[in-house]
Amino acid sequence: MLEMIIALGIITSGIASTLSLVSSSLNASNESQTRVVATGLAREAVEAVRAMRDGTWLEGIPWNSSLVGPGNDRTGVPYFMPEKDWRIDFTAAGITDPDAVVYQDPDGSFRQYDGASPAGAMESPYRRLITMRPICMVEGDATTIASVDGTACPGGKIEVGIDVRVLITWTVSARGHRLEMQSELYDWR
Amino acid sequence: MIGDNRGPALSRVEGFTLIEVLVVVAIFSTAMVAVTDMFLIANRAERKILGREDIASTARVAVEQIARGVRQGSIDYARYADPAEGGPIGLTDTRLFLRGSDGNTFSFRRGESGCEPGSIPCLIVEENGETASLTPKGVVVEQFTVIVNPTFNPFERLPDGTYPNTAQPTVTVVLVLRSGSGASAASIRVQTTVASRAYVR
Repeated sequence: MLEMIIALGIITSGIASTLSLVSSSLNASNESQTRVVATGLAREAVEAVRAMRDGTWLEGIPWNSSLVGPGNDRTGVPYFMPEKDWRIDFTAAGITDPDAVVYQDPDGSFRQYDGASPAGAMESPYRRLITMRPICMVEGDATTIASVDGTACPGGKIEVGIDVRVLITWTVSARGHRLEMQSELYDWR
Repeated sequence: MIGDNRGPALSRVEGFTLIEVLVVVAIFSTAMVAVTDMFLIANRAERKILGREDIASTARVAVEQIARGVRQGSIDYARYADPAEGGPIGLTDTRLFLRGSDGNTFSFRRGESGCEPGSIPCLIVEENGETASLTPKGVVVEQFTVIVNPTFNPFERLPDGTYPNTAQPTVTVVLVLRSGSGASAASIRVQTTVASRAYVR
C-alpha cells in the first residue's frame, strides 16, 4: 500500500509540474504578445504628441499650445478628432482614471475618446496615459537644459521642449503588466 | 494423498491474485492515459506558442517596416489622386502609398496575389511595380486598416496661395494577423501611429 501511494504521488506530481510548465509557457507567450501590442500603443502616443507639435509649426502658433491643458495640465490621453487630427484630452489625471481606458472601436482600431465611448466600442485590457514635463533652459545657455518636475519652468528659464512619458498598463491572466516609453521633443526644427 | 505432491520449495512461491493484477492494470492504464493526455496538451500548447511567436514577430517586422517607410519617406498623395489606384483616401483606408526619399514609390496593402499557399490574404509590399509578401507561410492577414491624416497634402499650396490644412501627416496602421486553426489558432491585433518627418513648410 505504501509503495503504491508513493508511486502515485510521484506520477501525480510529475503530471502536475508538467501541466504547470505548459500553463506558464502559455502565459509567458501571451504576455510577450500583449507586450508587442502595448509597445505599438505607446509609440502611437509619442508620435501623436510629435504630430501635434509639428502641427503648431505649420499653423504658426506657439509650439506647445496644444500640448498644455487648462491650468497648465500636462497629463492626459491622446484621441482622434472626427477628421482624424490628434488631440489630447486633459481630463484624465491618472492611469486608473476611467478616461485612460483604451477601447476597441467598431472599425477595429484601438482608441481613446474625448468623453464617453461610442456605442459598439469594446473595452480592451489596455490603459494609456501621457505625462509631459517641461524641458527648460536659461535663455542662450544650452548647458542648462533639463526636464523639471512640475508643470512649468521656474523663473528665469524658458521652455524649449517636453519630456513625454507614456505609461501603458494591462492585465493578462489576472496579472498586471506595465510598459513605459519616454521621448524628448524640442522646439527645434 | 493425491494432488499435493509439490516439494517444500515450490509451495512457498507466491503469485498474484486476479484482483491484484486487475488493480495494477487499471492503475497502469490510468497513468498511461494521463501521460498521453499531458503529451497532447503540451504538444497543442507548443503549437499555439509557436503560432503566437510567429504572428507577433511578423506583426513587429511589418509594423516596423511601415513605420520606417513613413519616417524616411512621405505619403504619396499624388498616387491616391490617381483613379487607377482605387480613388481618393478615405477616413479609413486599406492602402498605404508612400514615396521614398530617393523618389521610389512603394505601397502596402492586403491582397491575395503573390501570397504563400494557405496564407491568403497576405500583406503585400509593392515597390516600383514589383510585389512581395511581407507575411510568411501560415500567417493570414485578417485586417489591414490605414488611417492617413490629413487626407490632403498639407505641403501643397493651393491656387489662392494658402495651404489645405495645418496637420503634420500621420499614418495609423491596424494589422490583425492569424495563424493556425482550431485549438491551436492564435491571432494578434497591433496598432501604431507614425508621424511624418517631412518638414517642407
